[in-house]
Amino acid sequence: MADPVRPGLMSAERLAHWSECPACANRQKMADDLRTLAAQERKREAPPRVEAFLMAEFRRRGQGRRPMAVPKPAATWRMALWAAAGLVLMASALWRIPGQNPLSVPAVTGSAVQTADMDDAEDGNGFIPLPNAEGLEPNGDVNVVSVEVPRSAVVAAGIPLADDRASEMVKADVMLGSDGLARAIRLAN
Amino acid sequence: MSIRPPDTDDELLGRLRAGDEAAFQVLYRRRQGAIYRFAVHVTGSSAVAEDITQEVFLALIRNACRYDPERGTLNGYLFGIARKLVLRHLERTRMDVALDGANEEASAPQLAIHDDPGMALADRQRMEALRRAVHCLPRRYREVVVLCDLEEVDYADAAAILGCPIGTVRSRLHRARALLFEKLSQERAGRNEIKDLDPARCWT
Repeated sequence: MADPVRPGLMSAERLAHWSECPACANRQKMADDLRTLAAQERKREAPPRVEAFLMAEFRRRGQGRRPMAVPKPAATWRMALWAAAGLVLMASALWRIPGQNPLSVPAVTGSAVQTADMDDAEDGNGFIPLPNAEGLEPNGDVNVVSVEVPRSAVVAAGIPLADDRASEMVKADVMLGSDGLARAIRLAN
Repeated sequence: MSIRPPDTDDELLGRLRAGDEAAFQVLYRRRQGAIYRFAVHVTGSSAVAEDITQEVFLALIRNACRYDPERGTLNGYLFGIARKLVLRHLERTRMDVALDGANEEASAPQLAIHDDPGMALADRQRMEALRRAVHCLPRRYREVVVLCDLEEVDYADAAAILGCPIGTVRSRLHRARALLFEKLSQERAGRNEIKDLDPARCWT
């Protein structure tokens, strides 16, 4: 059976039939329109930023690095909104948790953490600097957040802990710098 | 002087696997348009189509070794990934669509592209009506029309992409065109009814 949308031979009989049968003529018209639409659609392509991103990703992978989480171009704003909402929730939680009001956290000077980092030991508050974390600015703001993390994560942070129950959760306080990045950790119990 | 024929997809893929950036770029430029258009037409959103196009080619960068030429063409493989992502997106947004009947109409304008300015108004309107009608088709018919009629994918490839026998592709395409025809006829009839209204009855 001839496919009306795909180009084919137009027999004289078919043309004669269409002149007498409006339904078939309309069907043929629709088939022609589909072809026209297909030709028009050829102009539509993904925006150049997609190619730019993919080429960069190809180069990055070519250098043997592990792929990072890839932001989607159209989802970037959605992700930013979610991140902002998360920060607001975290801030409100800090206000609500008794004893975890950020303003009530005793100021920890950067020098204390820096010293602990160099000595690979706890500071006066029991915080242990995270490996590769930047030092705190002297007199800079800090926040302390209580979290529950797997023991394996604590071990990975360089804190000596028996890892025979790696999947178990432990309570810990994490000290965040003014930029929101974790700087030091303290086991709660 | 002989003109070198363009590299086939498989040749380009071989070079891509060896880390040839230019090969990836040629392959991307050759195939991205069809993938993007397929995603636009089936999801009705150019932003989602952009994400899907990016994900398809990222998958190619990461897992180029997974493509097996004996199981189909590279084009079909890429369409297959795109379709999975499209279905995942539609599944995620299913509830929104069900709850918000205006959603389809709202996304329809994203289908419009800059038409040929030389095209007569009536032709442009007909094209727009056809675009809307394609968008309003049920998903299983919409994807087959987009693949076979708009992207001119052959039936064997379409069957591999859709995961069904060729006969099913043919029957879905037949049914899809019948639905399109019906929809366009209804729209034409509606327009004629408006045209036939007696202006003397208008109060404005």
